[in-house]
Amino acid sequence: MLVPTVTADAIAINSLYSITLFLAVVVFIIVQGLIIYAAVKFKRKHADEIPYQDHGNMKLELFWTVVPAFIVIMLFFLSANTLAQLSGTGTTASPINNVHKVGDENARRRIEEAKRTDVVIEVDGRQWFWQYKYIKEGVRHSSQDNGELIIPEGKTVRLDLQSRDVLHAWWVPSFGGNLYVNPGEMSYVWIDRPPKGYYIGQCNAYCGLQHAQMLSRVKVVSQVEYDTWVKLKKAEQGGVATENGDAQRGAQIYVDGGYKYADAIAKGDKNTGLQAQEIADLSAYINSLK
Amino acid sequence: MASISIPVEKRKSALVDWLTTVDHKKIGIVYMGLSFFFFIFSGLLALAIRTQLAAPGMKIINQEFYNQAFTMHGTGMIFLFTIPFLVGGFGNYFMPIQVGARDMAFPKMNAFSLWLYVFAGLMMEGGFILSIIANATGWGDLGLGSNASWNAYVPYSTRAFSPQAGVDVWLIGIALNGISGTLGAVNILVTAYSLRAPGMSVWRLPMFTWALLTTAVMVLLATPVLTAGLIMLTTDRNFSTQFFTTADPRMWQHVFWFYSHPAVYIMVLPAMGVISEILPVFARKPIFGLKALMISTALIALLGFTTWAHHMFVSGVNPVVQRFFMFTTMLIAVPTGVKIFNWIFTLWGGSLNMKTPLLMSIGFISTFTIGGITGVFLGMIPIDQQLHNSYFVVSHFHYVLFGGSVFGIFGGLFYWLPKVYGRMLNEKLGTIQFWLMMIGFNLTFFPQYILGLLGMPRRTATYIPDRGWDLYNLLSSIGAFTIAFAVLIFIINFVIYIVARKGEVAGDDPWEGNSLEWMTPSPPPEYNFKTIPTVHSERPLWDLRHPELADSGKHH
Amino acid sequence: MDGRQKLQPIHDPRRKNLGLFGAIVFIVSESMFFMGVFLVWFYLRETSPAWPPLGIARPNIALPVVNTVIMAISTIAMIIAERGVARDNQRALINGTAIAAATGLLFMTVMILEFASLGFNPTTNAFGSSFVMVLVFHVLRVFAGVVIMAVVLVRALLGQLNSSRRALVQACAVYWYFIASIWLIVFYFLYIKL
Repeated sequence: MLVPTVTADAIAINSLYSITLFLAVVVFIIVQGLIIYAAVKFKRKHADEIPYQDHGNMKLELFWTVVPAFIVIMLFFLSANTLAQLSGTGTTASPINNVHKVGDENARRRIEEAKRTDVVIEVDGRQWFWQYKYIKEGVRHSSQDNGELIIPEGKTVRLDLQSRDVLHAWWVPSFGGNLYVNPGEMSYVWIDRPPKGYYIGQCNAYCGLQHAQMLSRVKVVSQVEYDTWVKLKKAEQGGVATENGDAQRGAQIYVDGGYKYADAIAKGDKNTGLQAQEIADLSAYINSLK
Repeated sequence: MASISIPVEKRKSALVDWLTTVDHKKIGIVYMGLSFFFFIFSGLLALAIRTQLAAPGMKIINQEFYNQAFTMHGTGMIFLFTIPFLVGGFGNYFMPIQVGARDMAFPKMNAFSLWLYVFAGLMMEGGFILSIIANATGWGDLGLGSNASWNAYVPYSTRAFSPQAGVDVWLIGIALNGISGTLGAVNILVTAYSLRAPGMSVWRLPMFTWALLTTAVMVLLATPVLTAGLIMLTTDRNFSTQFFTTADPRMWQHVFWFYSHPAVYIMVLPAMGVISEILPVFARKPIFGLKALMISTALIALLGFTTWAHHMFVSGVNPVVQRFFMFTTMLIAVPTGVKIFNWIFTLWGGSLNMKTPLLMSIGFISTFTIGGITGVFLGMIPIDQQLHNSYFVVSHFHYVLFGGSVFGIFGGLFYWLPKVYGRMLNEKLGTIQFWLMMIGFNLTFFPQYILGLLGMPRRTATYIPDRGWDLYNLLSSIGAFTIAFAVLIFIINFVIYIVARKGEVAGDDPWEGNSLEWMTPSPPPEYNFKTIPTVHSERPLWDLRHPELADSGKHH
Repeated sequence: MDGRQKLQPIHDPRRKNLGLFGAIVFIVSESMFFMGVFLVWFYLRETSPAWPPLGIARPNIALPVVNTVIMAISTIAMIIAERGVARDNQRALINGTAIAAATGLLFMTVMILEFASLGFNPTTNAFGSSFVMVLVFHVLRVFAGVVIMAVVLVRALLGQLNSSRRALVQACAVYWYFIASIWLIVFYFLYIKL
């Protein structure tokens, strides 16, 4: 695939893709080669030419039935094998469905046992944005106004997706795989230990007027930055204004111990000595990172 | 012995004659003409789409119109062009002649199918065109176009999310068109089976007729299921029934794809039949492995009914079921591959007459192969999970349906229009058209594979820059206009050499054809054959031309 | 030439039963239509926690039982009509068709009573929609069958049908048997096996 593949899932899909592409190119060259050769070589030479009346050849026909059959059956097993390597799919003998009805506790338990997860984020798909709710962290965020899904590097993140209106689909190509998000159902997507970076995905199930604008920007940051972001976000949601901050001043505050300040703010400590403007600056700096 | 008299031609005005005709050839011509109009119209919508996507962030058409444009482009091309053209047009005109019949089994029902199709087409496109006019002239939004996309996935297509009447008009139009197609299929099946000329065993049916017969079986089995679903969705929208409002969203998807996957084969099998007619004629050789080709056609149809849920690998279908559908989907590559190699070996060792029909057929094999191979990618669940709904899919099915069906249709037009009108199309223009189409087609759709791999989703009205998509989209748009130019050349060719009758006189058999249509005058008389010929092999006309090399006797 | 040419006539046994063959092929498509309808019925049934949903009374089986009997009588009448025309027995043809058509109308009347007596309607929920819709789709076929029988009846009364011209009767009969079989399936799944 032509996008950088950064998670174990994307890498597994990509290697299956590469094998298939190799075989496809071989078949492509053989077939196109035969077509072009035949079209050039066997042009009619004179008007009365009568070629040998060949009705077929059983052996040849068997050959091009059996060989492709062998190839596709091999690809079938390779696919099944890759499928079993992907996050949360279970084993081939006992596969797990990563979509279930809301409230189906058995299915939910299988999902939770399927893969060790560090961060769980509930994602609501709406016309035409995503709403993110960090469960443990107690933070809310959204993809509106170019909002990014902030996740820590090297951790396994699970998205618990649900639609609040029509069908949507979660797809960040670099993470591999997309999945429909249905009303009344839970869909699960894992982001397995992504490296730091900025990734863009997009809703991939047609959902109406502004379907094209329903982007999912994902920013993978270091653990420290992530924690800081969470704390600032909490502060923001606790009623402290963080808009209109100045990133440069924020950087200075951060160097002076922003992590500590942020921690205090998150605890609701009003006596950090920081002014509302300084909190806003700090926030602006964190947002400007990467 | 009783004899049938040909009625003396009553003087009817041409218009009344065309409106009341039950002659399969005239019905076929109306099908071809009208569906070609829908081809042009849906093609113009494609140009609007490609113009919008030529560069990132363009606002040439608004998003609402974009969403209607891709919906109407898709459904117009599928329901109003490809299927009616191949089955209603070529099928009606040539199949009865090929089997040595004087008309379809049920000529009146045939006319009924035609006019139902016309009505359905006007319903689907008429409202949409009125809406465009109303918007352009500032009368306001009539809301008579559908923006639900061709698959009309619920719940988006329910009244809660798509309240405009356009969706209803569109649903009813598709349902009526489906009923027209189903009745047409009954007619084709009975005709191709029961009205065969003496000596024409099932194994001696011409490949086009065989493909059409298989297609008719598929239409017969698949379409009514969609019709049922469409009626339910329509009553949900208009009479507050509750089929899809609270149900598992996959239910509609199952109903829809149960029809719409076979529909792909309904669109491509007759085109395969067309090129299976053309190749042996222009290679002066029998088709390679006739029985294998016939059996693989039937196998594709059969397997085609067991693969629908591969469109739902990311919908949350039970994973065991998914693996089953992955297996059947991959298996279907085998009979498809058999066909491709048998076609190539029909050319092999032949004496190739490089005329436009053959060029188009070679183009078909070449591009369809790419579409087939990429289909294997999408049949593999992990790869499909990545590429589902991306431009890779868009490119894949255009390689099958344009690279396959449309090349087949143009091949068929160059091959058969001389029979219909008694004049030849111009070869030079045909060759230019072929190369422009071939280049334009690959320029349009090959970059779309790359776009899919770069993560571009389909059905998006615009895109942001800096994702590496700009160049490929631009190339694709240039390609689209190249195709349009190629089609324009065809229209010019048709107008000058057929309408204005500047083309060479075709005679009965300009190509040294093999099948019975080349035994009749061009155009054939209303009754086709005075005496129904007796058939002794799968190439009855070859036998007449080359009694010393006749297939009959030494083969079979 | 006087504008009339002689076309060689075609003698082919396959052509004799075009109408019947066409009807059978059409019935295949009709079966697929009902397959689609039942696909939805079973899909909804399998994905619902309770079927019928809680609070929906099971429909009473009395009227459908009556209708099954009516359908059986109707089918027998149709068999008599079809056999009658094969033996050039015009009375059997006319009486059989008339009874089949009349019982068909009766079936539709009872069905209307059944719709009125159901404790739910198509807008209640998915169960109501699919239950009523299955019945509606079937009863529409019954109506179509009665219309065809009316045509048969008129042509029989005009003396246009006999043992060598009976494709219409055969087609009508096979369609009617099909409608009767669909009724049995509907009756089984909607009432007995509910």
